[in-house]
Amino acid sequence: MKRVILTLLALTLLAAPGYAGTKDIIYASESTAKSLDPHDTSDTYSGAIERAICQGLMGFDKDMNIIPLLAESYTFNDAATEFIFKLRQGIKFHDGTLFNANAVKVNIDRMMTGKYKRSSLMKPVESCQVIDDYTVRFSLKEPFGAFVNAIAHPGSLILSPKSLETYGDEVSKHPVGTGPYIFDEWVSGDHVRIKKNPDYWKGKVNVDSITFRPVPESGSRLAMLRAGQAHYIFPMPAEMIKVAENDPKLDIIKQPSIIERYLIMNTRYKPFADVRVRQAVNYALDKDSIIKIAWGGAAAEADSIIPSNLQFYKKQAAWPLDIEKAKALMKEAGYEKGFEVVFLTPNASNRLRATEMAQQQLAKIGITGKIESMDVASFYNKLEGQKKDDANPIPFIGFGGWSASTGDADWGTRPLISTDAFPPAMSNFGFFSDKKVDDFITAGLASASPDARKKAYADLQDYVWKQAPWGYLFVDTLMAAKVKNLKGIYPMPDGAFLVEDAELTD
Amino acid sequence: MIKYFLKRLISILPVLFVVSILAFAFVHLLPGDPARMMAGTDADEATVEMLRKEMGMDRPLPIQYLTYMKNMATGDLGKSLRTKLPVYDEIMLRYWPTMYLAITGMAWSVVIGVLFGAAAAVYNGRWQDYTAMLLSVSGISVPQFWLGLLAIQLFAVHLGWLPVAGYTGKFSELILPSFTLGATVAAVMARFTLSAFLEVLDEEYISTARAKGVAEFLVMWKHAFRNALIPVVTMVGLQFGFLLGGSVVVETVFAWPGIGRYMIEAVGVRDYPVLQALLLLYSFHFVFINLLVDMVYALINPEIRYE
Repeated sequence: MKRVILTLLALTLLAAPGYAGTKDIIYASESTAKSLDPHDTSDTYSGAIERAICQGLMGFDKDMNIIPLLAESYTFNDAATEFIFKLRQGIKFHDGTLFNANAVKVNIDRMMTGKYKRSSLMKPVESCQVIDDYTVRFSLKEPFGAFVNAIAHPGSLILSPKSLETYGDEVSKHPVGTGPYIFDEWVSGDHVRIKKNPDYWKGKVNVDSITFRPVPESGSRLAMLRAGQAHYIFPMPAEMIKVAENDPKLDIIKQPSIIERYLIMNTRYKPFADVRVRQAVNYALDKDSIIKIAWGGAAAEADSIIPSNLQFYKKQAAWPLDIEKAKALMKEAGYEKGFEVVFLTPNASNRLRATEMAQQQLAKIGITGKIESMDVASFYNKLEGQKKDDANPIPFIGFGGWSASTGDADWGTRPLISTDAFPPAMSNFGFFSDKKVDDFITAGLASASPDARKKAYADLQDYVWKQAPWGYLFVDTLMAAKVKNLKGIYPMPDGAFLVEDAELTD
Repeated sequence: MIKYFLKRLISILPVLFVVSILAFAFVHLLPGDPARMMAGTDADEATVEMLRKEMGMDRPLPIQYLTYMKNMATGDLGKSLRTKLPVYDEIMLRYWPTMYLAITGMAWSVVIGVLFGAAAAVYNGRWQDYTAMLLSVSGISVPQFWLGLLAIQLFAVHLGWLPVAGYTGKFSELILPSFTLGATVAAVMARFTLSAFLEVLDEEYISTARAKGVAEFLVMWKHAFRNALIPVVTMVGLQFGFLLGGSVVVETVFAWPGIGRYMIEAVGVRDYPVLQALLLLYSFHFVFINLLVDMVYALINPEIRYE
């Protein structure tokens, strides 16, 4: 009898699926892939998968510093209107096509047709010219100092020109690039699988394949990791952090993001047109408790108008919680008795909670009002529907958030606080308009020299922090979790990830 | 008989027509701009405008409806705004996983529900009855997502017997989600069977059978059980539609690649063509199941046909 049981046990063990021997990684995430055509992708998750398959002339490392990839080096003129890239030689696409200047031109020309979601990245470009087989020149319509960031953006990845010819826009289902992994399979609504590129130009790839599996429910995602059915999960739900911390098989990864959260006020009209009122709001907000309660601690107090991981960030002195000072400012501005506003927020529970807390905190200085919560689509519809010259706008406070996907200070400020960015053109939903701010932003783009740009954005940040166009809140901390024997997958500050160095030890 | 079926079949056409208008109107009345959702929050207005044109969202609503109906008549449900793949293909990819889940969930919930209900009736007032009904009330009251997460914790994380989530075609992956999905229906079936059974046990032919001296087992099996089952069969049809609706929650918890989860995703990004097609599909399921139930009635009881 004993022997029978032992045999049965042995058989079960043999039959159980084991990871030993194979090097397949399962990445479980909240999102679902929406497209694999880099030029026509607007979401971070799809973009990150594309980055494992395709590469751009430039790219980002895990801290969002710009690094050369398919380009060896670049030069630019003082006016920031001409950029010349020297390309790396001897690189082949997964389909065997040679990477050269012509391949770059084909991709850039495709983006410049204006038909794709990331066409806007090439909007400043007048033309892209092949100088020789391994040199390309971009001539711009006007100075655009942040152009190298546009080139490093995942929207500017280079696809094999042969694949573009074969598949046309169906390339979204057959991406062919030069990256460490080759596209293997995409089941729409379910998983994407990529497999090792044995001839990767940078060196050996350590895992056989990676499967990206969408698991929308956060409890199930963590359960998969704990049961050994996933190796990496993102995002790691903040409310379950204790469970994950107590599990000896898991590591938790925290990374400051480039996602800033803030309260939008319609500054074009009374009472928020008065800078003292806006400053009062900033003194009255208890950022610390909002982070702890609404965000489960997964954030850091904002200390500039842009997050610390953006290029040219400059730290500012925090707005302390000071109700007395806030009240004094309100009195000075003539609002001693306070006023009524409408609080607008997307209905995701953490955002709603943060708005409720802000509502309670601002009530202490007399700013009171009801909350209107709605789904994300309706929320943006409402903000974009505002007209510049609305006769009787109701003062509102909206829960805003922004992720500057180019990693540059320009995209963290211009679309949000410049006069040109009033909706519907861009996302200056509070109609903030200040001549000085506009000038700094223009100066930041007028040169591609890092020193000149650094100065412009430093001045901008010093100035606008005190002007308080927003009620500054916090910068999200991204959380992921992985099994201990997985190494080399890095979450990036924009919510994307790098899997090039992934490795599974036994 | 055939004439009756044909008549019933034709009568669902106007229903579907009205549903198509409602589905279209409902989807387009949702606030929120699909072009904006597609472009991403950090896109500029030119990109949004380009997408709006491409999707045909710049044309008046009645024109959009007519175009939609015209295309549908030729079997073209349009393209998903998000993935740009044909809606028909996208739905077919997810349709069968949902059906497997619903059918498996239905199958075991009928078996368990009827067994529990019958047991409760046969052992009326004894511990078997109380246990079955305690489980049944729990089954009705417990939210599916909670039950699903609990089952995952127990069977997948702690015991490690079953996969947590996802579907790649293995039967083991079907077990937890189908049990979660079927729990409510099993509970409803149990209560329904119990009442049907008790009613039958009061009938005179049962007393007659017992008086004749028929063995108690045979009384229960041949006389009571079979007759109690007739209303239960119709209940199965009605519960199936409910089950398909419930798959929205279960598919999300278990990362199941079905149409329920697809619906949630489509609402989030205002993928109009997908939403319209799915609303029509769900409505069609209900209408069709009702039709089937009617026909089964007609087969069982010929009087209904001449109504």
